[in-house]
Amino acid sequence: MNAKHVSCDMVRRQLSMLLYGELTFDEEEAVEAHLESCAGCRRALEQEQNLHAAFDQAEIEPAASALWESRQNLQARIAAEQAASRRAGWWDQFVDALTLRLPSGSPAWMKTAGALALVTLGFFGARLTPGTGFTGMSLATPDAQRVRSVEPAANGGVQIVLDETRHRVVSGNLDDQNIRVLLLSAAKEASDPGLRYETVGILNDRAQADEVRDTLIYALEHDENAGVRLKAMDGLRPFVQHPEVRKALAGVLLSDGNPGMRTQAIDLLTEGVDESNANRGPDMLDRDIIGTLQELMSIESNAYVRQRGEHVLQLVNASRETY
Amino acid sequence: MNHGAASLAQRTGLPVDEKALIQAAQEGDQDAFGQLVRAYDQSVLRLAMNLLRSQEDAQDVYQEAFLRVYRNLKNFRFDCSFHTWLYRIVTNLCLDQMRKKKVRKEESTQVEAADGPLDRMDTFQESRVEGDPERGLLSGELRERIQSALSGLTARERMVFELRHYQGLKLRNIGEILGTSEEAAKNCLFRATQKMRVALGDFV
Amino acid sequence: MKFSLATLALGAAAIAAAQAPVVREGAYWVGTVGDSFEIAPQAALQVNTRGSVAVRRAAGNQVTYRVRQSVIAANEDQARALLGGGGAQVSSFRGRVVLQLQPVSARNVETRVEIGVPAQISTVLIRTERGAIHVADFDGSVQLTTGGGEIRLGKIGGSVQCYSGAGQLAIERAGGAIDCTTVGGNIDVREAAGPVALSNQMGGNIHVDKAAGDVHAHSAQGMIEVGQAGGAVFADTQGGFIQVGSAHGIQAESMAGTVRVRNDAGPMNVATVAGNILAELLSGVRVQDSSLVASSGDITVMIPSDLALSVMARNATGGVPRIISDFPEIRVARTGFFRSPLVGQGAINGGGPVLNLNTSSGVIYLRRK
Repeated sequence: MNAKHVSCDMVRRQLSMLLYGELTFDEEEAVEAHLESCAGCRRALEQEQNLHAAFDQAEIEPAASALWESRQNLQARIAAEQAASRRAGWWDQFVDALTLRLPSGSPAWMKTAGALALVTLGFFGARLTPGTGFTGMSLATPDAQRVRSVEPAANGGVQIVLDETRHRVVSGNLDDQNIRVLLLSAAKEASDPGLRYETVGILNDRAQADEVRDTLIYALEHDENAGVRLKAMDGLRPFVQHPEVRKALAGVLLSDGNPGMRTQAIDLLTEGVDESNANRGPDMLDRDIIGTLQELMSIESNAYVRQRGEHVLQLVNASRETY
Repeated sequence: MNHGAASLAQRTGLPVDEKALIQAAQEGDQDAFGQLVRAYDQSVLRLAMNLLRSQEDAQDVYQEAFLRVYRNLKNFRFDCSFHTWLYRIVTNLCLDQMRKKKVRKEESTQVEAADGPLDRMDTFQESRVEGDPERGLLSGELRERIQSALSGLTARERMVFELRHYQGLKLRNIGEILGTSEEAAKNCLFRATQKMRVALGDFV
Repeated sequence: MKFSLATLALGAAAIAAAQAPVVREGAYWVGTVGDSFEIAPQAALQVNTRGSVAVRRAAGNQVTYRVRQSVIAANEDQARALLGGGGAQVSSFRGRVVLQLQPVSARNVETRVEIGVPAQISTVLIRTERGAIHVADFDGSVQLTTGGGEIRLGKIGGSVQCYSGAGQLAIERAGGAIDCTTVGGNIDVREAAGPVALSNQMGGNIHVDKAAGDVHAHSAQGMIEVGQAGGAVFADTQGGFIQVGSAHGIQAESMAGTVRVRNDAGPMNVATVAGNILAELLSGVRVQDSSLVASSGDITVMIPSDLALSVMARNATGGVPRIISDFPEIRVARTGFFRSPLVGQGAINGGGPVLNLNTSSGVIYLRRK
């Protein structure tokens, strides 16, 4: 291909299409060959690129709530259309659907569950190996046990069901060291998130004890299940003045993927930091938290969390130049 | 919850054959229809919003487009892709609306001002540039220029530009959607970028 | 579809801080503006704004609004400059009265909006870009969206629709249907006189005390508890327990977690990938064909002694699979020779709707109540 065959004028007409990748192979060859030897057209290309970049900035992204509203309205309209044309009632359809899907040979539910089981292979019950704390208990101190369920008992105590070769019920007061050891390990190690949630719920009443609080902080920071983390945050709420709790909440702000967690964490951390005691200046928040909030400003995607963070930072007169 | 192809894919994270999804929806599987809507509705809303510059109008187009899909899905014969079919519906609705708007604008500017599309624009844009106030200031002026440059395009040029630049569709596909040739779409895009360049030339 | 832009300006007022007084409060400069306007009975009111919104009842036929903006500034002039701009506009759009409150957009300006609505209004729609929404008791319906922040509702007479980009949702009572979504955070509903649909896109616990209709609850990750449902319960979570106190039909699915359900009537479909199932059937009710599947976990069914039921239980656990039954009518046998599942079959009280039970790793218990 001979570059001399194309004029600057022709090339410049095609720059935009070049950027859009809409030139034919031959056209593209010709333009690129020309660009190699023509500084003027290269500058024109650069300008065209700037123009395209400018276009990008003018795009509007609809708010998530707008999408949600649209879906709601659509659903309602479709439901209305259906209601008008439906032959059988909703309940009958539901029942039909269930009975049709349950032939005696291979229920669809089983197939579904089987497929899902592949994903979660390797599930085992929580293996707990409590140490010497067990000697006082009426258990045969087995090597390994599985906590099956934990529930509050009527007298303010707690009842734990353990798996050994058969289930064994261990009852006792929450302040009983043995019970507590079991609960603390169940909160961290049980592989059933529901069990961890219930255990955390029971421990929430005893969060004034350091070891319990540590376990709740552990759950807040490490539990993979958002439901369990939210429950642990509930229990830590009254202890928000404790430095280690504040530190954990700050960690949530920076690393928890669930925006609901971050929303609650910022609300908790900034509780009481409002206009009435704003005069106290930076003393209201410890340095670590201020640093965290400053870091947060550079990464937070949720407008609410950002705004709260900004608000508090301004209030404590923290240096805002660092981010 | 449900056990159609749609929800299984959702839970296992496996891609589901779109054709299977459409067929399931054609047979009345609500879940499959919902899945189809969710696969495309965000870009539909974005397209409508960018073209019409009004959340209410964009939501109207969204509503009407998916209702038409819902009512006519059983007649869909796979002679083009679902995406193309859906976009044909959406772009027609948007073009209608843009033309009406233009007429209205020429008739009365008062109505337009009362609706306050500019106010709403500010609302949306603020969140986009929030991270960097300086850039926000700069781009505010630029955006205004781009806005006025865009309003100088014809509805059709505007549409092609939107589909190519923001939605990233290929001209061949755009031609198919708008019921015209690739070449015609290309000419349209050419005119659009030409006008934009003239309007913004000294600015970038 | 009507594309007509039925916009009619009823009146416009500027929230210009230049005219509004700016006063010092602690470290802040605060500008407050407000106004009121008449609204027809049964009208729908839509408020578009930014910042937290509190809605309360107002007497008479006037909608009142108050926008309080606060900012830290070096002096009054600077505060005025920061708080300037924005505006309030009342218009009518598609039969709704729209109150557009556009406070200043700067992030360091804190905005709180208070709306007083007359009791006679049919619907209140709030759209705020970010910030909490609180609605005290209100007789009509509400539709609320926020980009982030908690939503807390008292006793709402009509239906409730809400969306939060992040944060918890709490509803004391709704006289109609509830349809709510949050991207993340807990959802708590005390009482609903209609059907309930709740969804949690990134995780959080869902709790419903009492609902007169069906309950749909979806959590990406978290626990689901439904105390009492007048209709069917549909619940699914990617991880967490599901607990249903009573319902007319149950469909429950957990990827990892125990499912505990009590069913009044109707079909029951329960599946958990890793976790136990405990299902209780109530005496003297009409049950329907049901299925309980625990891929890795025990299944326990509590059956009243007067209930007529056909049971089909299958345990494919390796080693020594077990089906433990209080009912002599259930015959338990291996179906084949080598490593075949254990099957328990039989008709209780002459047989009836089919109860399918399946586990691949666990024990099946059939308990007489």
